[in-house]
Amino acid sequence: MLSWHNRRALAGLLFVLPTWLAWLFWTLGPAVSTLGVSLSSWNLVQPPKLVGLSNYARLVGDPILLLSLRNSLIYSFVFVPIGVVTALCLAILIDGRTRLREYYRVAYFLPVVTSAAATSILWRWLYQPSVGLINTALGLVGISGPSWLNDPETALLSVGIMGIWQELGFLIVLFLAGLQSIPPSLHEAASIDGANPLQRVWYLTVPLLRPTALFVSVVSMAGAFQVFVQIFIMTKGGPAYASSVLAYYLYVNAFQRFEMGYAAAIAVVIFLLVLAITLVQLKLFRQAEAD
Amino acid sequence: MADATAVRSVPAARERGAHLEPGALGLNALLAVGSALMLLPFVWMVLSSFKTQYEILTNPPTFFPLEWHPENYVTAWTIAPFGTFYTNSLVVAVTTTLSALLFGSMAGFGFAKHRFWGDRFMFVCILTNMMIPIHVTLIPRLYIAKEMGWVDNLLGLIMPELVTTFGAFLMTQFMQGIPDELVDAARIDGAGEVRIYWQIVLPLVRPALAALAIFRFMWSWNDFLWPVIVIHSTEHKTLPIALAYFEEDHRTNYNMLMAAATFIVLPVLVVFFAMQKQFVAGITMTGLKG
Repeated sequence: MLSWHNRRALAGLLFVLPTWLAWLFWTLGPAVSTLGVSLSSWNLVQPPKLVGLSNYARLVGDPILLLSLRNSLIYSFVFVPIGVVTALCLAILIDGRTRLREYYRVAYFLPVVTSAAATSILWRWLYQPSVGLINTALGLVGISGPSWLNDPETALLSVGIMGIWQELGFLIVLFLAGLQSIPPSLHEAASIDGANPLQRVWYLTVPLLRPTALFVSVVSMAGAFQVFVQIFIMTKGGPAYASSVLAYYLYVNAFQRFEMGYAAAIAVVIFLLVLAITLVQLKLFRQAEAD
Repeated sequence: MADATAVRSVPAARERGAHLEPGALGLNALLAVGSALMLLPFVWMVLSSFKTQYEILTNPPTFFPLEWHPENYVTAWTIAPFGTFYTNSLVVAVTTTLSALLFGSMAGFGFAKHRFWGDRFMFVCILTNMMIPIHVTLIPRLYIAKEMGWVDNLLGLIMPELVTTFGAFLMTQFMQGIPDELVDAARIDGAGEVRIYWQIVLPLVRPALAALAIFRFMWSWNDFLWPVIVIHSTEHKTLPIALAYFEEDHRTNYNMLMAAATFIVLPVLVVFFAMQKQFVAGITMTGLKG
């Protein structure tokens, strides 16, 4: 017979167990298996053949992989920071308003909840070079717009702009929550001391938002390595792989060419990049706390 | 409907001394223009969906349709079996949402109100899940689904998504806010753990359940990558992947495409407008989108 104390502990364990077992079965198990698959040659049907590190050797010599890696890094380290800074500015502006606050939050947030499949098709239509809305609008002010998705020079940029549009509201909501935690009395004290609004934003709001900004940046930079739908629908990684990213190239290798071993090696690269970003974040957090 | 004021960490938008003086008309204008730019694509989507195929490719394009053609929606609905796609999407979204509520709240109760051997370790496991990108698990997941006979049927979409670590995390966060005294008092009164969970804890976390439900529903409704890998036949497709294939067959029929996109987006927008407070609360509690 279990004591009441042990029975309660057992109950706790049983409440948690389904979630933990599901994690073991659908996440940890598969993640570890992927590591094993990356050392093999496998088409999902025949038994896998062990090939050592040759998939990794192939990564280094594959120009399309290197291009996809470069594009993923551009997405994560250029497009995402632009989005984060834009969101920060907009959040500070929205927080200052009280009347239209709800409207702005909804307007900026709407793209976040809509299906990326639908918005990708929508944006392909907006980017249409001759009769698309964007080039028509540019034409009105005398600019002849580029071919956007059809031009290797601008394809990745086009995907990035659309990505920022889709994510902006999510970032703004996080920043608005951060702004809520700044006590209004600080602003009052600063204005009594004669600080003008711009000084208050720069010397008060921005430093106090640093933890939020750090968190937001890391979540979205890590998330950027998983961008897939936009590329699948708008460009198929093209033209000439100009807009391919790691996640898309993994899909092509795994589920169109059935080269599971090589695709698993790409998955390991994605994992290591996300891990590196997360570890840097932890370090920065500790530093920020120590300050 | 859950009362959003009960959501702890999100105080209602308070009136406060604006940081930027109201005289800053330019800044207001900037925000207004920005929000118009955010919404314009949706306006264009809906306007385009009412145009004829001829009008849509006219150069220069018209903004408002010359004639409104609501029958585009009927045509789009019938040239592909969108009724089936809708049903599939609903079945998957409702099933995974209900099970996320059940398992998420169970795990939350376990973690927040019990101490047992390995509890910390299990919680950390669940947190690491958010660091492991879905791409790292795709290939073995497909293998499992294949071995189980779940490929190309709705079980393949439902089974891996029955439990979400996000749900466990969100519910743990909320349930930690319930005073231990409340749970202990019920225990002293002789209530069993299941009864405490069902009759005391669950009613207290209704706002969190609402937030989790919306997230889960939206996530499932919009999910693309896994369905496109697991589902091949038309009769099992969900809306987003059906839309992608519809697009490949009708690449320049933008009026049809925009009509189809509109009826995919609509249900989520309705849910969002009805429950946007819970949405925002869920994001600010976890910093994640589900």
